[in-house]
This record gives sequence, structure tokens and C-alpha cells, in this order.
Amino acid sequence: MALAAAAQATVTGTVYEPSGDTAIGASVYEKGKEGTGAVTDLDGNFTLKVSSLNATIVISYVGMETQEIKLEGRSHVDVTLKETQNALNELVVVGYGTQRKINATGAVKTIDNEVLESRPISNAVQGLQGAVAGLNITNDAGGAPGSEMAINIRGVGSIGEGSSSTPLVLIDGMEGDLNTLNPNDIESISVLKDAAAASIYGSRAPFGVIIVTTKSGEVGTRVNYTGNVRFQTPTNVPDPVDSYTMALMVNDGYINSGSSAYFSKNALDKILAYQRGELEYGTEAESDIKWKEVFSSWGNTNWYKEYIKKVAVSQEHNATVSGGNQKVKYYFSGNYLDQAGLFHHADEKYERLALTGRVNVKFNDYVQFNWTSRLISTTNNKPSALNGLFFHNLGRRYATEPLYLPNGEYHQNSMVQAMEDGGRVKDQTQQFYNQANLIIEPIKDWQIHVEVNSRIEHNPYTRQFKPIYVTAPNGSQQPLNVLPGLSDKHVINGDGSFNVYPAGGESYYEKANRSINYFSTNLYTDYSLSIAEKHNFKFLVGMQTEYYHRIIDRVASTNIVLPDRPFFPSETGGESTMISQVNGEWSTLGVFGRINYNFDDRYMLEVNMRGDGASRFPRNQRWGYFPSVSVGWNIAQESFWQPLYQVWNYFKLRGSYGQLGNQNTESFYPYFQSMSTNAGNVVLGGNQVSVLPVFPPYSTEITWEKIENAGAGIDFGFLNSRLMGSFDWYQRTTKDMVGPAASLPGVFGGDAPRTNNAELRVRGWEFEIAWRDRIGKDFSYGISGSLSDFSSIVTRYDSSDGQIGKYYKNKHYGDIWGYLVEGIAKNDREMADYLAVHDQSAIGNNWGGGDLMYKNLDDDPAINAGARTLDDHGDLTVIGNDTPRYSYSFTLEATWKFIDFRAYFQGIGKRDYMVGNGDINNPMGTSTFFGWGGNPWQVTLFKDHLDYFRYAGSELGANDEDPYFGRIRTDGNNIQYCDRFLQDASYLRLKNLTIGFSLPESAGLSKYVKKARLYFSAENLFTITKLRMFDPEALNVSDGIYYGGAGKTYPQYRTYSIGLELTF
Amino acid sequence: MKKYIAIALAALSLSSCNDFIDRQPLDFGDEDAYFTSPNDFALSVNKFYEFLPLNNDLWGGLYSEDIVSDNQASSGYQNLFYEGDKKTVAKNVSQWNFEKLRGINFFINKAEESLANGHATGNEPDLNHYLGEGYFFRAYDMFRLLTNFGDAPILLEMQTDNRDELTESSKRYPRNEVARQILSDLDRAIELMYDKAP
Repeated sequence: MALAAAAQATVTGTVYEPSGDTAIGASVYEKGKEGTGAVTDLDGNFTLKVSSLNATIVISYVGMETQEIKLEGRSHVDVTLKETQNALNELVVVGYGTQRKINATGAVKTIDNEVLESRPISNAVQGLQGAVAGLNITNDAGGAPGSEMAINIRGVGSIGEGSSSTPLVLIDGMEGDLNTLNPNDIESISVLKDAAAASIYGSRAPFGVIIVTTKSGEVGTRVNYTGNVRFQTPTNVPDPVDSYTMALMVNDGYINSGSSAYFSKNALDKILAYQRGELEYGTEAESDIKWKEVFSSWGNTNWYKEYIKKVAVSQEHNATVSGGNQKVKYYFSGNYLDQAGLFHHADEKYERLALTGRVNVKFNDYVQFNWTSRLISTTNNKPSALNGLFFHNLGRRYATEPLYLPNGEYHQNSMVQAMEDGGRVKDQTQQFYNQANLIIEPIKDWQIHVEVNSRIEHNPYTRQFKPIYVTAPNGSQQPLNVLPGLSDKHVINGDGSFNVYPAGGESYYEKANRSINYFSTNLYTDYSLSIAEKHNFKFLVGMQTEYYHRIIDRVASTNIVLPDRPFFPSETGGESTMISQVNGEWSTLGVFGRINYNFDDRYMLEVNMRGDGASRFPRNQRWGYFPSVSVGWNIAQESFWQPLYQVWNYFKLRGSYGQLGNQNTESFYPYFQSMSTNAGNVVLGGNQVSVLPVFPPYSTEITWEKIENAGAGIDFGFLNSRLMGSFDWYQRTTKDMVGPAASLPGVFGGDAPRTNNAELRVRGWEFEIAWRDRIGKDFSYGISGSLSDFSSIVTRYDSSDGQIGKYYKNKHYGDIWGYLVEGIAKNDREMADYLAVHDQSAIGNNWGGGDLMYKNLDDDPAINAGARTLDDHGDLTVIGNDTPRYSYSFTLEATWKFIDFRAYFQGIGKRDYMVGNGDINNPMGTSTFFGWGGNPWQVTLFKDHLDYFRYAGSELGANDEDPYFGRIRTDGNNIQYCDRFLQDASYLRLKNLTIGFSLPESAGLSKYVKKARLYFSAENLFTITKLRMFDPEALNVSDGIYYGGAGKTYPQYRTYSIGLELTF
Repeated sequence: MKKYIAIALAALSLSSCNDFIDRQPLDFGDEDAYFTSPNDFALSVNKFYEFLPLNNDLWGGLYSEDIVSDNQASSGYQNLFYEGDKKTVAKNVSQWNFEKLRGINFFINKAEESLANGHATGNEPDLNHYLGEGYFFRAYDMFRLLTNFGDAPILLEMQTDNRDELTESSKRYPRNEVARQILSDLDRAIELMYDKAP
């Protein structure tokens, strides 16, 4: 009778959460029989068949401690679960494994996906801004759809030429792209900030690692949908002056610079007449083939208003199906994002589609297998004319140019034809990730991991310039330039890309195919060992291989016969074709090991070692060895701490030191001699021939950059971990950066080969604090904040000329040089008196009342910039530094019954900024800040520019008491880099505000819907800043003389969204 | 036996490891990839044709070169026709520039070497013709140095980046020696070149 039958008894019961609510979906099974269990239902009840009423049952539930209950003859048990010691037993994801937070000795911060949830963001990077102290995410390019933000950990790491200092981004252990990853798939993000944490990844991760773990299935089926609709409105759109005011300002500008007024009285009257509605059109024919434009016409157009939308609508939908049982778990998700652009006439389209599938199979107690596939496709489709030049020109379009011509077409300078019909750029990314993961556990605590990862990317890219025309006064079709103001140019850049300015009426089509194949394997094993329960060891040993191949083929032709159906004509040796190919690969091989030791959770020691061989370095320097060590002391666990423990339960001191190498050079073959042919500037025998230039001077000694990291930190927790925080201090030195060498005598015939001779040092600190608590059953809240700062100094650099705009020894990275301003001369007499003592002719001529008086700082009576070198900088001095300092963020969140609330602030505490052209040799303010940019053709007149010096009697009104700007001029006299116009670009921004309403569980629908939540969320709601005119996150530092610069980028925007989240 | 297999596997994996991280460039070559045929020589020499006078200057270009003679006058005066300054060489002029010579010397030396060790194959007179063109261009660039500086350095090889050697090479030779070198290069060119390019 007592044969061991499968199930002899039945036990029932109810499972409760600590708060008293029933636990739905808790897993109940007999100990040892995990495969055959039960799950609690909506009321927390379960029914389980057991072998006997003396068996032990196990109850496990997410976020709770797993409990074992001995039945001891009972057939009904009620269980109340206990929360796991969240804060301290929380797992921190580190390289190749996890650690309990209490034991972590490196500078690691793990955050869960709460910071990304319910936010109307376009990508995960945007959502991480300000989320982790030390993780700096900056945006200098405004809000263009598909634009990527710059990430660095603890400051810019390298100024070496051709090397990159971005952190390594790992998605489930494989390098991936955080810009395209579906944010809803993210489970947690771990940021490894120092060498001790990152050195296990060796030379791919000298500047930190961001480890992203994506969601997996869990026991119990779940179907989830979240979607939102977003309304975007642009911020800080410039407000230009009307045509009459503009004409008066232009006249002032010319007169103040010593010329005569540009607009005659007749012209001004005509402008006013048009404004009053007396004239029907804003222009007329100038000749048979041209309509009047620029200052000869008399329209009244606000170009920003014409082009920038008030509202753009986007949407995102995400659905997941996940579930499983003890043996098989699965997770599938699909996500679609449709992001609108902010420009009229442009019809911008940005779409992302992401599909993820993941399956975890547990074959038995020893072997587990995971498979993940991810397919991401993004498309960015916009006009070819919507580029930096467009933003630059948008401000320069004069208000006097009308939108329409008398014949009903758009004006030739309106750029509308170029935007609507000038051809489009279509940039697609298709990424396909596949990962296979085998985990073998032969004996308890010994795991062997075998991982094989592949990423395949295709980026088809096309760009077209179509012929566009405007109808001239005599009826003929005049060709227009899609990129106005630039004469035609068809050049192949060094990196294979095409730099093309089409001629008017040209029909051009370009296609680039980029393929990336990335393949890596990880093989590692770890073993945990505990001796006498006090000595805990964990050993890890492994190896990694990576292979990366990238090929880009580009073809372009100006002989496209059917512009509406572009394809390349078959031809041989055509003069109208451009071809290039870039092909390269790199590989690395790494071996690594780690030993963790802790004594009774009180004293911790971790030693890491990694050796890397990289194909990018010469054979005799191919291998680098990177050690690191970190220690920690859990003071709160000491016996002498007992009296304080109730109040202060977590206090850990830690320190770390490590060395890493950087193999992330831009070129895949930096030490190879490079010779290749290109099209020559010479025609022999009637043909343009190819030429083979001699190789540029190169160094065979180029070697790794080395990064040394040292840091110390304190982690603390009070009141049972309700108040938690940490403080870190660090120093990072990047040595052997590739920099220019001192110049060699002229007979060398070239630039001295660059060598590893530069050094940069960054010092900084980070502080984080968080408070979480519940009041009663219904209300829980949290406040958290972070503050960090760093400063960088170039400690070694061979600057043969000491140019202040470039790098030099002891330069504080980001220093801004400029003049000091004495004041604005009240009248001509004051100016003449000043000029008698100080000669300002190096800056400009025709000085008078209302112009700036610059201070003389050196012995020379002339006010000038000297040679712009460290030894001779004339009257220039360091007026500020544009590195963002003291970045901070704080979050307020609260949940009450079914309402949840979250406000997330982010800001920069100190940043100086000079809104200038960024030209090292001739720096000057830009036209978007001053109205005029140094020559008569750079003029963008906004209402903010009206605060310039004007004598009494001026038609625009007197402004001689305390104007901000000097007199408006067409030259550069009053727009030099100086302390008067140095801007304070610090800001505080309410980055996100979310309010959500969840359906209470008691409502009737809970039979069908497990969870329903409606939320309202807004991004960039308001900003507090002293910066004039511009959005502090759209301050693109100019890359040339005219393009880029504040006010000349895609506008930033504010988003309001409403979303819905359903779980079945 | 098992031991030998293990060692063999280890050796195999070690060499394949090294192969794995040894990657050659896929989209450019180096000097050993080129210089194998007359066409390669021609490609190098084609670059030197860019050193000949161009006429794309907005301010007159070739047509204002006669300013240095009394056939043509521009808006300023020519200091060549007055006593005094023209006997000293100007400092800091842009003509103290040896980039072209670097390329030319590299070509001449590499071409001679490739011909001597058989790296360059193909019709030898063709190869020689292009080598001759190289000599012509060296003479042409040295002529530029002669007319600007009189005494000038004579560089017959591509220079290394050793500062001491470079200081030594910067020494200016008397102008008659420079002229002699130019003539000898021209003679060599005449010897090697065809009457008409192939």
C-alpha cells in the first residue's frame, strides 16, 4: 500500500504579500519536484498535489524571498511572503557575471528600466540622460529624428588623433547599438565606470562599459501592450524681425561700418506699402530671367514660421508576449516607432521597427540553453536639402524676400522647391542580432558558459538631387540649385564618401551600401567556493574572440535620365560616375581572469587581469596586459558597528586601481604604410589619369593608448536601506595618445609623423543619494538625486606653435579665450579719446560712439590677439570654459493607490559658452547671436538683436543708456570673443513628468485585464537658464566658418504624450 | 600519445590565434604592392605632372609670369631691377618647400631598386622611360630651388625623420653644384626616355 505513488495528497492554501495583498502568480511546488507545480490564482489561492502531507513545499515569487514550508500533516497553509533584502542583496551586473551589491568593490551603478518606462523618447540613450552620475550624454545637434547623442563616462577620455573615447556598449554580452535598441526590451542597465570594473573587457573598454540586460520570459503567461501618441512642439524657435525693422537694422549696420545706407527712402516706403497691403506682390521682374530678391524685393516673410511646424505628431506601439514554465521560458516583443519631423514642406519620416525573440530552455539541472534573435530596422527619409546648410540659410533668408512670385510659384530663394522636389535622402539601418548561449553546471557553483554572438548590419543609403526650376519673368524655366549658394563640386573624400554640391538643373543619384559583419565568441567558466563559511572565493577564467568586417561601396551618377525613377544607367568609363570602396576588418583575441575574495562579507578583494591581442597594432606590440585591483571594507558589518546598525546599516569603503589600453583607433590599420591611387588633377593624352602619390609620413611605432584609473568611494545606507547613497572620487590619466609631433626641418618634406606623445588627465567626483519609503499600505514615494563634476587637463602635448585654439601642455580642456571689454563708448568723443591711447585697428576700422572698447592687457598700446599662441596672445585671456560642469539630476516619485507620479529634473550647474564660429584662426561671434557675423553676407536678424546701441533720434528708438550689444555693424568690430558676451549656459530642465492611472484590481475588468494603465507624460517641459535665445542643448559648436552654431541646428522640442499600458 | 596530441592542438591553436589577429589592409596597398609594372611607374610619375605650371589662377596665372621680366608690368614694382636686395635670399618664403622632392626622390630610389632586384617586371625600356621622367622632374624641382635660393640643399633620397640627419641635409650647397646636379639629372633623363611617351 505504501508504494511511492506519484501524488497521494492535496494541499491548498493562500499566499499573501507582505503588504497583505494576495500574491497572484506565485509559484508553488513540492521541494525537489520543480517541474510539476502550481501557480496561485487571482485570489492568491493554490491547489497542489503532493506525495504526502509530510512533504515540504516551496513558494517563490518575484521580489520575495523563496520560502520552504514543511507541511507537517497540514492540508491547508497560508503563507505570507517576505521581501528580499532588496537594497543589499540586490544584484549588480558586472563583467561576465553578477555580484551582490554589498560585495561590489568597483564603481558600478545598476539601474532598472523604471527610468525609461512610459517616456515618450525616441531611443534608450535619450532616456538615460542624467540617470547615472558620471554617464554624460550630450546633445549638440538639436532634435533631428534619428540623430544620435554623444555618450561618455566621466568626461572626454582622449584627444588622440584618430581614436575614440566612447564607452563600450554591450547588449546581453555582445557589442550592440543603444540608439536603435527598443527601450521597452530593457530590463536593467549597468554602468561600469572605472578600470576595476571595466578591465575584464580589456582594450575595448578603456573608457567604461554600459551593460544592457534585456528582458527574459518568466513563469506564467503574460501579454503586454503599451503604446503612446506624442505631440512635439519646438523650443526656442528664433523670432525674426519684420521686413521694415530689418531694413532699418541693415541700414544701421552699413552706416555704422562706414558705408552708406543700403535701403533708400523709396525702398523703405515700398516695404511699408507692402506691409499695409497696398502692394499685391513682394517682388517684380529684375530682368527677363530673374525676379528681384534679397534686398531688392520688399516682401515680409517670417521664414522660421513658414518652415517650422507648431506641432508634430508621433506614435509608438510595443507588444510583448512572454511566459513559460520551469523548463522553457520565452519572450517575444515587437515595437514600432513613427517619429515626425518639425519642418513644413519636408515630409520627414523616421520609422523604427524592432522584433525580439528569446527562448530559455532548461534541459536538466546541469544544462541550460538560451537563444536570442533581434531584428531592428530603421528608416530615415528626408529631403536632401534638409542639412546643415539649410539651417544656416534659414536664418539668412531676408524678411524682404516674399514667399510667392507674381506668377504664383514659390520665390526662387524660398528653398521650398529644393525641399519638396529637390530629391530625398533615404538612410536605412537593418541590424540582425543572434546570440546563442549555453550554460553548463556540472557541479554546484561551477558554471561553464559558451556564448556565440553575431551581428549583421546592412545600411542601404541613397541620396538624390533632382533638377528643379523656377519660371522666370519671360516664362522660361530657370534651373535652381538644390543646395543654394554653393558652386558645383563633385569630390570623393578620403573616407570614400562623396562631397557633392550639385549644379543647377543637375540630376544626381548616389547609392551607398554598407555591410557590417560582427562575430564574437565568449568562453568562460566560474567557480564559487566557500571555506569555513567565512572565506568566500569566486574564480573566473575565460577567453573572447571578436571579428569585425566592414565594407562600403558607393556609386553616384549625374546622368540620371528619369529623376522620378532613379536607377544607374549602364555605361562604361562614364565621365558622370563616381565610385569608391572602403573595405576593412579587425579582430581581437582576449584572455581574462578574475578572483574575488571576501572574508565574511566584511573585507573584499578583487583582482582582474586581461590580455588582449589586437590586429590594429604592429606585430611586435600586438599584445597588451591590463591588470586591475579593487578592495572594499564593509564597516557596517563589523561587530563594533552593532550599536549604530539600526540606524546606519550600510557603510562600505572601497578603492580601485587599474590600467587599460585603448585599441579603438579610427583607422583599422594605423601602422601600415598607405599608398593608393586617386584621380589626378592632370590630363594626359586627353584623359584624366590616375595618380599614385607617395605615402604620407607614418610611424611604425604607433602603439596603444594606455589609461590609468584610480579611484575611491563610499557607499552608505541608513534606516534599513531606506536612505542609500554613494560618493566616488576618481582620477583617470590617458597616456600615449597620438598627437602631432614637434615639426621637423623643412627638408623632411612633410609633417612629422604623429606619435604617442600626448597625455590627458581627468579628475572628478560623483555623489548619489536616494530615499525610498512607504506610508501605510497605499502610499510609497522616493526622492533621489545625483551630482557630479570633472575637469580635464592636457598634461602633455607637443604643440610646436603653442596655438591657443589647439591643444597644448596644461591646457584646461574647453578653455575659451577672448578680450575683456572696458565698455561701450557713449559717443564718438569717448571713442576717439580711447583710441588715442589704445589702437584697435587690428580688430577693425571706423570706430565711433556705440562701439566696444576692449581692454589692453599687455604693454603694447595696440589691442590685438598677438600671434594667438601661448607666448604671444596679445590682449586675449582665458574668459571661461565651456566644459559642462556639475551635472545634476533629481527625481521625485510617488505612488498612491492607483495613481503614480514621477518628475525627473536634469541640469548642468556651470557652463560658459561663447556663441561663436569656432574658427581657431579668426574667431568671431555668429550671426545668430549678434545679428551680423563678420561680413555683409552673414546676417540673421532676430528680435533679440534689437538691443543694440542707438542714438536718440534713431527710427527704431533710442537705446544709448544701457544696451547689451554695441552698434550693429556689417564687420567684426563689436562681435569679438569677449567677456561681455560670454553666456551662462547652465540650466535646469524638467526632463520628464509622468502621471499614470492604473485600473484598481477590484474593478470588474480584472478578469480579462491584469493591469491597465493610462499615463500622461511630457519631456523637456520647462527649462530655467540664463542663456539668451537658444536652447542649452542645441548649442552645436560650429565645425567650419559658417555652418552649424547655435540657432543653426535642428530645433529641440518639447513632447507631450498620452499612452496606454495593458497586461493580460 | 595523448600528450602529443594536446601539444599539437595547442601549437595549432596558437598559430591560428596569431593568424586570427593578423589582418592585412583590404582597400589600400603599400610600396611593395606597387612598383611591379610599367603602369605602376606611370601612375607615380603622373602625380609629378601636377607640379607643372597650372593656369587656373584667378589673378592671371600663367599669363602674369612675365612680370619678372621687362615684357610685362603689374601694379607694383619688380625688385629684380634695382640694386641691392636681390642679392640676398628672402627668409620665410613659401618656396622653401620640399614636399615634391620627397615624392620624386622616393619614386626614383624605389624604381631603381625595383629594377635592380627584379621586383619590377615588364618591358624594360618602358620602365626606364618612366624612371627618366622621374629624373626630369627632380631636375625641374631643383631648378625651382636654384632660382629662388641660389645655393640650395641637394636631396637625392627620401629623408628619415631623424632630426640630426635632417639638419645635415638642410645644408645648402653652392649654386654651381646644384646646377651640376640638375644637368646630370637631365642627362640621365635624356638617356632613359623615349622620344615620345609609350
